[in-house]
Amino acid sequence: MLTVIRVGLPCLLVAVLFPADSPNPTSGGLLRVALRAEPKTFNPIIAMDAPSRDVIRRLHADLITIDRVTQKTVPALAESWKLDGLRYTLKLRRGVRFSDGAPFTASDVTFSFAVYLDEKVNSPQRDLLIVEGKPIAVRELDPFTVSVTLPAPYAAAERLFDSIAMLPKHKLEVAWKAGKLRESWRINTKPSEMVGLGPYRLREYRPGEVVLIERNPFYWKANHPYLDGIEFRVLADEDLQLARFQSGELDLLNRLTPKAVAMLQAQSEVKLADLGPGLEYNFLCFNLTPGNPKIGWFGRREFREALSLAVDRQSMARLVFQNRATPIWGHVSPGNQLWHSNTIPHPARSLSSAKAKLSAAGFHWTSSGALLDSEQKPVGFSILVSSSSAERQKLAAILQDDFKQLGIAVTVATLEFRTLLDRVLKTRQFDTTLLGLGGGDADPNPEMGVWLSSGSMHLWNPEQKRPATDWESEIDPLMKRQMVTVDYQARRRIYDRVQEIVAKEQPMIFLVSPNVVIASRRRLGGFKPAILDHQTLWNSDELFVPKESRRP
Amino acid sequence: MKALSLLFTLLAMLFLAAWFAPYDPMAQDREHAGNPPSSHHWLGTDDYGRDVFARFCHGGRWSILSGAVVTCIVLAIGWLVGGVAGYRGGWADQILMRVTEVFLVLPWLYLLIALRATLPLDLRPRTAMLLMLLLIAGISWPRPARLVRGLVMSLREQGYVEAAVGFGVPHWKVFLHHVAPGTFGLLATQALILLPGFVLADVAISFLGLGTAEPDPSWGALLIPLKHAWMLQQEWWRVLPALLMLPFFASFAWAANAYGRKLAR
Repeated sequence: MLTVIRVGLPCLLVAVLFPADSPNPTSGGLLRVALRAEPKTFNPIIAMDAPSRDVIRRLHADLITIDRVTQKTVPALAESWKLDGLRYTLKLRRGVRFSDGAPFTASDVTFSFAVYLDEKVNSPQRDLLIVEGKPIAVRELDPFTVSVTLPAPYAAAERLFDSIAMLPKHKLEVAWKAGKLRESWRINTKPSEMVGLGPYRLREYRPGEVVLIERNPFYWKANHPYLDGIEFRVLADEDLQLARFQSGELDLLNRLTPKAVAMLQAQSEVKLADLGPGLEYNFLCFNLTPGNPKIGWFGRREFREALSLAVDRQSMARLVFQNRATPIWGHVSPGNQLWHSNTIPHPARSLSSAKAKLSAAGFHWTSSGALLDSEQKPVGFSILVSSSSAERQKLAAILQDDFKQLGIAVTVATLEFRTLLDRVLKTRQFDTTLLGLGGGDADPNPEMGVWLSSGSMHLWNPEQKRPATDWESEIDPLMKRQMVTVDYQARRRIYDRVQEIVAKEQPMIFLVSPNVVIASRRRLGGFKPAILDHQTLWNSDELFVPKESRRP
Repeated sequence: MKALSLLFTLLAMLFLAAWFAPYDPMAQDREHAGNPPSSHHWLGTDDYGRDVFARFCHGGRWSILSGAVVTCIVLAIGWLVGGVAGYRGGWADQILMRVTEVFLVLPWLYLLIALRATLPLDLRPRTAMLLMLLLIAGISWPRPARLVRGLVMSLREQGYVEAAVGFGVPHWKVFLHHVAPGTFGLLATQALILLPGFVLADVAISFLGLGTAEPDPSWGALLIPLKHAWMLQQEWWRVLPALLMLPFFASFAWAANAYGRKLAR
């Protein structure tokens, strides 16, 4: 019951913000949205960058998809499915055609999974299809029925199928057999060569300018999509996007900054939606890699706790996000209603408690207030932050001042994002870094790599041969167990425990979770923004522009 | 003279104001963040409640001093290279001018990004910024070098220089006593042009998020909010530091012009 209420809340929020007062949907019209960078590819098998995926998701369809508002799975190309032990039997819709008119059958499904599981192709989706180290087995039972056998129970269940685009065997089999699949469907490939099962198909790509997709006449949902097409305009700069939106050249804006919200609030033709805290969580991560010269400080829980107690999260939410953010003490944001734990303590900011913890841990202060460790070394470190994130730079400036009040000298080093990632993930040359994670699925499984001590995204000490600490050795089996626990309540208890351990040990100091704020022009119908990616276009087949609002 | 007087007056005001600025430019007062100008905070407060006037004065002092240091380095290298190339001519001129051409086409922005990526992270922001400005200095000397070379080549042809050489005065003495003094006017004009240019480089680097880092103030960091579309509507006072910077840059340009005209006469 609790689950139903929690899942229902986002629906209620959207219903209140976007009441069903839109006129009946009618076909026609073009939607104009922004892309933050050039797409790197139109190949769904290898696409990793957000701009490519934003476009590709409109061109392709999956068997079962996640409704981004209810966060529940709903049928897509599979009209029904049943689970029998470890085996899913999926019934495919009949009469479905690719955008070139070729029929879609079970052989396309088996082909698609074979491609995603092929080690030589090295698709990023492959990890999702490996359970307990073994690949899932996909078999064609008849032209419209497939079975998918899991090697072990899989808690995320049919969410597994979301975002696994079904591929056209008749178009890609030759390239796959020739080992050239990764080179297929590049940005300079002829649009007619690229076919999919999504609501749209590629019409034109002008580099540096625009990606135009048009209605797929063979789309499986009758009378959908309503729009003639979607125009993605490549606009890297947020302010430029805002200016274009104000001038009416864009119909939607995702992830608005608080200042942009204040600017758009005065405009009557703009509909703003603050969906509350999203899934993103911002945090300060310590480098706990053995051999780090500052491990003597960072490795002590009392030190990390003291720093966390000194952080003014309320000011962060107020000054950086104009109160459109929520202070957090754990890694699951309050926006993730299915998995957010309410048992994690929220200690209030207290410099005196922080100093007491440091004193108890053997630190002391000079007469000028500088913090010294037990070996009389002054305590200081750097915070690495991306030069492309104004918000995180501001968070770092607040942290710097908060820690200064403990007598800690902190330098803020801004680096270009890819250079920063290189330092954090490869060379490990950093003291602490301020980053954000989250934004994909609400389920814990996509973050296995963050919480498992062997994970490549276990940011404070990645790819450990065996857990370096007792608490990490407790988290590892819990994360593996939640992955194969099918009962939601039991799984939730396990994941709550993981959250408790992380919040207690604080290898990351969790700071704030920003709200998801989006803007649309009032003339857009069928609009159901959500906190999951893609926040505004996830139901692009249901969006429409009323006739009276269309551009000439 | 008037132009130079105005410039020095402005600089003196800036440096004295920094001395007497009523607030600590780095002290955060989070309860009064983002406030418009008032009798307490003449230019308002920034996102963390820091006094913008104090940050303008202290940041300006830093920006102009670091610009002056870089200008001196650039002119020293440019004068030496241009002087030698222009006076010696021949193979020395050929080699040095090819080297300047290489430096002229170096992509300084990418070099700066690469340098920032390799610097130790716990380096003080000012030190990191100074190193970046030194890199700019290291690649900015070719233009003054070419100007000096051209001037030295014409000075070398003057009768009094040829006479000195004819009397057997050593070349280094001829260069130092008869040629070099003729280049000082050009150097002074270049200094007045280059210095604001390097202050603007600090502004540009900070604007890109790679310059003077928090919490240290700089003119570049004060201009960062101006890139946002919402700024003029919501926090118009953020434009005030930019307006206050204008007289400084204008007086530099005016002084350079006036001095250049005086030299031409």
